[in-house]
Amino acid sequence: MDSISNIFKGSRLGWLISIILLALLATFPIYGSAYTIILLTAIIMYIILTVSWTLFSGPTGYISLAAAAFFGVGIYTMAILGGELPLIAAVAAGGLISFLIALGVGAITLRLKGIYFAIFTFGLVELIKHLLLFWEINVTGTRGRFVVLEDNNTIFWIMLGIFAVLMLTYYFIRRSKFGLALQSIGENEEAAAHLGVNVTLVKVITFGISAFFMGAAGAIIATRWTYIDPYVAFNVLFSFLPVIMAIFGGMGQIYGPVIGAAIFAYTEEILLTKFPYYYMLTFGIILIAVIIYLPDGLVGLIQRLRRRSLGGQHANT
Amino acid sequence: MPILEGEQVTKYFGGLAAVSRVDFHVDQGEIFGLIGPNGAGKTTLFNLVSAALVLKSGIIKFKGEKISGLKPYQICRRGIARTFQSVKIFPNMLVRQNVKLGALFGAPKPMASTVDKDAEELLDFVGLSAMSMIPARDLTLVNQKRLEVAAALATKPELLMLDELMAGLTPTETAESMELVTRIRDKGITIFMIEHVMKAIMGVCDRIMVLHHGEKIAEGTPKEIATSKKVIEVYLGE
Repeated sequence: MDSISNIFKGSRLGWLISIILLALLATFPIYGSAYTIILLTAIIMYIILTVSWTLFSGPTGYISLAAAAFFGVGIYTMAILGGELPLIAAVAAGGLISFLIALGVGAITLRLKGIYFAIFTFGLVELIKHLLLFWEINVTGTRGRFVVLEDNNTIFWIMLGIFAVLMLTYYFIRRSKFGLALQSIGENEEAAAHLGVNVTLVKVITFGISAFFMGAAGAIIATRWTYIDPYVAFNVLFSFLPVIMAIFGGMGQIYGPVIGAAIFAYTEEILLTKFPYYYMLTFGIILIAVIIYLPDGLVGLIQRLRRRSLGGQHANT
Repeated sequence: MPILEGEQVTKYFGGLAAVSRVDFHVDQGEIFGLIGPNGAGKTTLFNLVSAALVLKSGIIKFKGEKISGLKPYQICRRGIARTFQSVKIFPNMLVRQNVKLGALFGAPKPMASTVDKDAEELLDFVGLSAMSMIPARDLTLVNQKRLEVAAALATKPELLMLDELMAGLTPTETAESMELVTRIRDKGITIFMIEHVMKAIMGVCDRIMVLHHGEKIAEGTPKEIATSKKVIEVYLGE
């Protein structure tokens, strides 16, 4: 219990700021414009994808490209269950089904290391996409599905709710014994195993938790898209964006992926609306510049500036 | 009384018998040395005991119970800890966190309340208490090796396997490490060690086993081993 009270003592200010920010965001639909709410929903969705990607891949170093698979499973779950279940239950179902798929896939593939794991997870997106296509063509004889509509404010609030739960989960995993085990796996998996860490279990569960949030985000955003098919739901872009956004923000701190995804998604939107012809070009240049000059992402930049203002470096860092 | 026993322990890499039908036992409370030329199968034998590798045939027992077939983390929680020939630590974690990890996960009954105290005591025991709050990557080689020993000890083992603890150390550091090994044994922990530094192994071991091309060619007290014709042939040629 001692350690838990310490957690809160150390960062009371951080908690206060987070709660105020969250409250401000939650009341936003009362005074914000519809466009801003839709934009904010999209940004929060990207943050959820990025943070849940970082939750697993950050500490363990296993680069997963399965985000689009779990996101898509969430989307399809909503398309199928949307009218049948209450909205919240359908969102939870999207997360839960993704979680279960991740457990199964994780148990089989997490023995793969490095690039092999990345390629397999990427293959998973294609596999599920084509299974669904096969099913729709040969069994149901349909193409795509309509999704129940929800109003923008409801979507926004649920997205925000998922985000809040995710951040809490992320925070407690990072600070817990479980988080220490996760980090040890990334640093030296063999040593971790020989010091008593059940590495397979820790990896599979974390992979599942990360998939849960991706699935839930997919389920709720689907209600804004009205019509989906396997190509829309399992767009590989959603596998790469979280990785890029996490690198952009930096993974050393909890807030890294959050600001990374937020700034990235917002910049994308601005470029797309203001400079539609140069959008991709500008975007590419920004990305290259960040990777060359900010290898630790925006977090690294902030820390460097802070260190400079404090004066000098520590010998042992 | 044997704490660790192996019967007909065998492991193939492709067609090569890395360890071939080796019978051995480690007695409770002793320091048991394992020597042999490069490629003799010493580390492979360690990997088989700690379950980093899976046996082809044979059986390994710990305190009379079969442990072959278990996973590495289970072996560790049963009470067998090990270190590695090439140091394996968690470079970006603090020295203290390295030790805490072993205490939190590897001990048969981890007790969260005593973990911090235990970690401090162990760091003191291996002489690293002044460095407990720096990242492990900043330690020198000898200190990284000591840290690895402290993390292994944090799992509260009954048997500690040391894979070339003294490799790459200066003569002074080797002497200190020998002293550390005897202090660990004095805590009641049985030691099974691979070593190339002859002075070290002859100095601290109660018994020694010699492997050559995966087969056991000799076993006995340091004196018997030092005078064994077969062993001298293997090391120096005929």
